[in-house]
Amino acid sequence: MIWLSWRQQRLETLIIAALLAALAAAFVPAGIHVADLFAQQHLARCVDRQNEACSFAIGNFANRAGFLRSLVEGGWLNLIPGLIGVALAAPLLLDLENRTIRLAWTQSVTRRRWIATKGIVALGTVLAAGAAFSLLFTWYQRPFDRIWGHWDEFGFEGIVPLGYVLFGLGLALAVGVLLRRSAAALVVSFGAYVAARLFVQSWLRQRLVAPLSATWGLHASGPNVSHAWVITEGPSDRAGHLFSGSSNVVQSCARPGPNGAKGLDPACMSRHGAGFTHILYQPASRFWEIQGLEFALFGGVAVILIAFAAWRVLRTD
Amino acid sequence: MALIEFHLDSRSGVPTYLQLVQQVRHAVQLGILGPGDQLPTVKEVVAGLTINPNTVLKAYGALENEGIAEGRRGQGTFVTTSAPSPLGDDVGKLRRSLRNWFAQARGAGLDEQAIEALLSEQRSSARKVA
Amino acid sequence: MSAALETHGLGRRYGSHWALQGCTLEIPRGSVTALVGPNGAGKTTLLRLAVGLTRPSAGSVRVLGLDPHAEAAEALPRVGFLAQEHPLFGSFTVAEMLRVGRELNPSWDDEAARARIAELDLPLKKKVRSLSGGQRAQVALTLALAKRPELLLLDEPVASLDPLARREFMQSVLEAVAERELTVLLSSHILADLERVCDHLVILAAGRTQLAGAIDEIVASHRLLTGPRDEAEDVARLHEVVRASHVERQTTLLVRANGHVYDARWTVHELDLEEIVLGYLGQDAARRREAVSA
Repeated sequence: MIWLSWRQQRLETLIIAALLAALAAAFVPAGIHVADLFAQQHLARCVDRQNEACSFAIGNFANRAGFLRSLVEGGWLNLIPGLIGVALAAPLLLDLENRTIRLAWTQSVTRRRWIATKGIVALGTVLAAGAAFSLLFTWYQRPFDRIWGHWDEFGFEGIVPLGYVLFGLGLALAVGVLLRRSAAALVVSFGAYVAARLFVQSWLRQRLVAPLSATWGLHASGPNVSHAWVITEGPSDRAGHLFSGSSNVVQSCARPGPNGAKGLDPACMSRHGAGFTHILYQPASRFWEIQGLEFALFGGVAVILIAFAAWRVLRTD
Repeated sequence: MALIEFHLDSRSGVPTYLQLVQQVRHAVQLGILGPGDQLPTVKEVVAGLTINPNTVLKAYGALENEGIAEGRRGQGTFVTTSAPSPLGDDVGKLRRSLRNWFAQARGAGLDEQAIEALLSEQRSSARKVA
Repeated sequence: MSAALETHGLGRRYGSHWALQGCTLEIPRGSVTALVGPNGAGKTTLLRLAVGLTRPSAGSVRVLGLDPHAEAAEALPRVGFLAQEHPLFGSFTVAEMLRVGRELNPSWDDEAARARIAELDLPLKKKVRSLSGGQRAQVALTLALAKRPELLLLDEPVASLDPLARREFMQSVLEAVAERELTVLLSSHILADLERVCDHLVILAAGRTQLAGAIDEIVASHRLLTGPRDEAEDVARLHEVVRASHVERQTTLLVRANGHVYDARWTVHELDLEEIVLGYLGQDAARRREAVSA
């Protein structure tokens, strides 16, 4: 039974393995390169420290990190966990669509056992692939994360990729048992996966735990947010209401600073009701808490979707 | 290899099992089969004719009832009687009288169709009596 | 011993349409039973209910004394099923299909399965999807037989096959019946040859059982009567009229006779199985026409 489950998803598993191998072939050398660069530039001493030499060294590091960096920052690789989940749903859906499921169900194995075995093998495969994805990028990201914190590539690291692959699988299975047409189900569920990820990333994630905020005068110094996720930051009034006037006002308050750079005149800004700086952020210490919550969110929805699909399949004629 | 091979005439209207019985009887009458000879196994018959095994069993059962064959457990079905059968002499007489009858019928001006109609009429009335 | 298949008032509804309704029948063990009827008569539904692929909406079904749904774990190993489209995994080789059978069936007879495949000259390494329709049917049948079922359910097993493949397929089935205690229930809309292959018959039409019994008895009890129209009612009182057609002065009746006493004014014809089955199916068609015109 386990052999059959494996054999039926062999093609999809090999495709995913090849994809992950290609990623590893690209990102392992790149990871070694950025780690070397980090050491060469002595960036370890610049962690949590800001001075001119460090700014220069960090800028230099960022410039020389290689073109793969842009691939990571572009966010396209976020599609891969979804691809993994959706792909592993395909053999199960094809089985339903081609009616070959009836062949399995009229052997000596009960439906329950068949569904459980198939489900466990598929779950094991997507989790292994998700873990490989997360390990590769958590390792690759290390130098960047030491400088800027873990928030920039939140979806590549830790446990959330496991939640994403489960979600992709559950989504494709649930859509598939409803539509009964595999190709359409895979396209629809992949689209839904992307939509859900974008929604969580741009709106929900920052609200999973109420963010911290701070407001301070232009001459005072605010909290240390060097590794934090800064959600918003900008001029505001004393109560912390962000300045909503036109950019002409800001430009009229710009004054030449000491070393040629332009600065804002506090008195001028105050006259326009924006003499303060307001910041909304998630501190670095909350990384694992938010990882846990987002994993639970995607994983929990995945469990519900998979249970729904299993229930529908159990009742299929 | 089997000693005899069965053939079916699907247009004769005679039930399949009866065709098998008649063919065994015929083979015994002609001396093709004698005491101790084994009839084709059920599986051989089924494979050759694509017929229901229960039909073969029914035919062999009928042959056992008639005393022409006997089933031996685990071995198969074997012929017990030998030719000539008690019918032997009668068949000759019947054949001669039929030949005479046909000659008379043609002499009376009956064509093939008329002869056939007459035959089937008598056949079915004889069956009703039986 | 319980019957191979037993149903009581069995029905299955899809939405508001009854695919099968009030079906009561008993298939004795060791029989080869034909399930005949027009398309949409409920044949496939009945077979699927028997193997537990579908749940009844009404009534009950038992195979070998077991409930195919509630007692699936006990019933499944003892029932073989072959769906009409002979489903197999297209990307698997023949050898891999045999492994599927071995892995999913504790009572799997690997030796017999391999012997059958060798006998049929089927290449083990060939992918299933590159086999001919007849070869696929034979692989699917091998799978169904090698699990050593007591009851084999075949849904239109030869409908998609050419005449030679048809014969070879039925030969395989009947040889299996000859080799061991095996009950076969096969649905078919091809009437020719049924009498040779089967010993029992069930006629389904419009979701209901029209006739069920041993073929010998069915053939022995049905007659076609032709006689004066004004006496048709007297006949109907004595015998069960399956189908009647009238011309101005004469009536033709297909009857299931009680005894064999006929009035001298009626001509009696014997019928073969095909004619009897067509009589029942024609009766169903006539009833449907009436329902439409009413």
